[in-house]
Amino acid sequence: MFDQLAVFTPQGQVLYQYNCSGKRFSEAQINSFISQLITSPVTKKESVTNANTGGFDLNVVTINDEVKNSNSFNAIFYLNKQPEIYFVVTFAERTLELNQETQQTLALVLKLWNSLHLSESIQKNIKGQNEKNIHNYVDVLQGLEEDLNKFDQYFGVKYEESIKQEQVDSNEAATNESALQSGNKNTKKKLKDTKNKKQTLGNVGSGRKWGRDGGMLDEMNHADAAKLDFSSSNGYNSSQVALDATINKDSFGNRTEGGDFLIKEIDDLLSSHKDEVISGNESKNNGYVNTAFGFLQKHVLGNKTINDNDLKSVLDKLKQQLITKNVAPEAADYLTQQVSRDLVGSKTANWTSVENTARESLTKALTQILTPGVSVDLLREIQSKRSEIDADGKSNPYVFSVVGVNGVGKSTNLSKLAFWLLQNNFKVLIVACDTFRSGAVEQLRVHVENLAQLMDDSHVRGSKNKRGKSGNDYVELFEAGYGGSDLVTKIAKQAIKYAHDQRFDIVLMDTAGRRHNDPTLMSPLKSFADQAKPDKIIMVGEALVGTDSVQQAKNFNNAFGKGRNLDFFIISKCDTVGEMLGTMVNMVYATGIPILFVGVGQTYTDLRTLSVKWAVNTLMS
Amino acid sequence: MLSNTVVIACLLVIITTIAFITVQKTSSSKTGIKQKSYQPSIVIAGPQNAGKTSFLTLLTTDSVRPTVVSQEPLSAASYNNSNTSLVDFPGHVKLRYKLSEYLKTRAASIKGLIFMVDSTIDPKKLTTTAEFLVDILLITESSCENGVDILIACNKSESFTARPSSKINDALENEIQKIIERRKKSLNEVKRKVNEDEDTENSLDVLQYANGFKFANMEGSVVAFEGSVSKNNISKWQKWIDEKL
Repeated sequence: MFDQLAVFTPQGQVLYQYNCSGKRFSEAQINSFISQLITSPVTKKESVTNANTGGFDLNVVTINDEVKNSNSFNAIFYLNKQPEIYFVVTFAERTLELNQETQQTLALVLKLWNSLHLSESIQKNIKGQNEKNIHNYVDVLQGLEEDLNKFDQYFGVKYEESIKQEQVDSNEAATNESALQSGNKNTKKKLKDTKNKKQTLGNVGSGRKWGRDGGMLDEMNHADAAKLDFSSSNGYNSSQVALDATINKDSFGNRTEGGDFLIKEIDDLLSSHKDEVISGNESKNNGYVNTAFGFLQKHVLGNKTINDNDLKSVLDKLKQQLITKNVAPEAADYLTQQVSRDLVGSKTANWTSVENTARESLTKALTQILTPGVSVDLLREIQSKRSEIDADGKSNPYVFSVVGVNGVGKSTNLSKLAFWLLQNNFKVLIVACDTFRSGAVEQLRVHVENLAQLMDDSHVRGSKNKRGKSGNDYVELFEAGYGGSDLVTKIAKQAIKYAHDQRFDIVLMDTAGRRHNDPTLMSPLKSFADQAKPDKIIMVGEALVGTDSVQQAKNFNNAFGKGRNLDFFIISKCDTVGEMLGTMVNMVYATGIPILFVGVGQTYTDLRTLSVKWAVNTLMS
Repeated sequence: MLSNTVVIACLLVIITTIAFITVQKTSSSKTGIKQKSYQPSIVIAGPQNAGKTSFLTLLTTDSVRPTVVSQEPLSAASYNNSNTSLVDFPGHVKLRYKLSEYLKTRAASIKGLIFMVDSTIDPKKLTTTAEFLVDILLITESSCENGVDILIACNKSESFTARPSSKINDALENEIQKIIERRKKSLNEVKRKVNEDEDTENSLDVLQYANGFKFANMEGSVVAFEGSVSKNNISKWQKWIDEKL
């Protein structure tokens, strides 16, 4: 049994809600789903289209609720366009049965919703074409009460029926469901066309999926098996569907009178809807497309309703532009999809060409992707952690650790960060956790000497402070030589304890650079994060890297296990790429984790907070 | 000689077309900020889950309904047959750019801003709320001539743990002062020296006063009233809106 069903608009208005266990509808669950959708729109999302989904392109996401309760849940959703309406079904865990059930449920919801013409009425209300109330406002639900009640009733009956049927005879339910779906497929001419393509593609390679790093991921789960089972039903012609439908109706005969009547009514409704959709589609195929006026409207006059054809060439052009700026093709695809989602069906402003409108929309999409999903105020977080004083009158230091691929500038950016923190009167302990590369510790010692000298002119280079370490009272180096990966966690733990005892405010840990697609190098990161428990894990990525940045960010983000993610990125070497800032977009696209700082030069002061506006303008210029 | 007129007509069409294209190209190549006259509006903003969408729904439909996190602004044009529209902006951090863009482009036509606050939050934990308010104030105080009048609407007053509006008002003032001090220290400041175009909205000067931050010192007036959307107790806020309409 699934948890909840919700139908709502992106404006936050709930259109329909249903709680399966009869409890009060919990908005908090839906809210955490939406929050995740906003902060990381592409991660952890997989698309599902198979026999169960009835021709609708559904998406499944797993939500780890970090804020309130730690139990995660799953959601399957469908996004209707024009008007934008979200259909969401949440469910507890990803078992085979639940997967199938929720897919079928959501498909049923969508079919019922469409056959009751609810979307059309809502569109009318949103556009303000309906009667206005005393506040001069058209309520989105105006005139829908009756239909929504009907929907509620129908859905309840139909859902209970499907559950019962499954219990009585699962085979019967399956044929019934597939018959309904194939019937529906015929009704949706447009959907079916695109769907058929996907279906054939899907059938060819349905059992397999290829991983990016060349390995084959076997994806032969139950749902796919079901897809293979039912694929023959796609070939049914309409007469067979009708036959099936009548058989199904007969099979309902031995159920209760009221329910039987209602189900017949619903089925009639669903099948009557099919003719209307076909006729509706045909009448839509006229417009300005090939006329001279249409051309003028598109390029000069504006005030044109945008359709897919208008956008195609423009979007290709914008995509090319993004790719020349070092944006990975998959990120560019995603961004242009956002643009077409934003624009198709809308009208261009007066005297504005389609291209300019698309550029504006792309600017918005870029701004949204680069804007951090959480507000990060490091100074406040450090202050609040330092103000928690334990029994000895001491408090725990705030721990940063820096990770990244070889040679991206981990140590350099760590020292820049240290310089900024020193400027804010914090005592900083720099820890050499890179016990692998020769010279790594010596490199950090040079940085510590430099920083010590910057803080205190009288500092003599190479001298030891009163605790017998490199550095002075403000900044100090914690080192323990070179060795294997167990040494790293040992050093980290010792350093934190030392910092606690010696009243350091900040601990900055440098780690060894590692290749992101080598599991033997990446696996120690998890134990390191578990043992040292850094407050912030920072990944340094270089702006030079290009398309591989997507995979780098993904792999590093996944290296810390399920419960821990990266906290933010520092993008280094931004001064070396000029306008090609695509790496920033790639990394945020791949993980949904914000960029906090960018490195823009060689000296200690060349660390800046990211200005989203600056980045977007550079990318769009 | 008939063809002469046809030629002239054709020429006219071509010339005007070229003129339009050039006008359009030049206007779009510049900063893109068009000086347009917008319909006056009252903005509803605030952190997530404060009750903004519920409030607007209550204002427009007289009914209390469940809402979920907004992803797009919701607007009610020409509210109560006045020329003013009400616009509710999503509170999610990642979507706040929509609000700041709106405030920047339409600074002159904004009649007021309702900042919704969840009054059940511990005043010590108001920091993120205050940060959001600072971001808004930096725009309204710098780009609008006389500032924008702000109503701090302390929602959920029916709750047992709700704090009175005066307390929230003071707590916000304190937090804002702390935020201004912290921001001066943060790396933001370094950034500005490099940026050639001076970002007015980033300069903290507009919010700095001799004796610490006080709402009373600002250009626009700030008032705080409590109320409750779920109990339909919004008379004070409604009165404030009616004054602005």
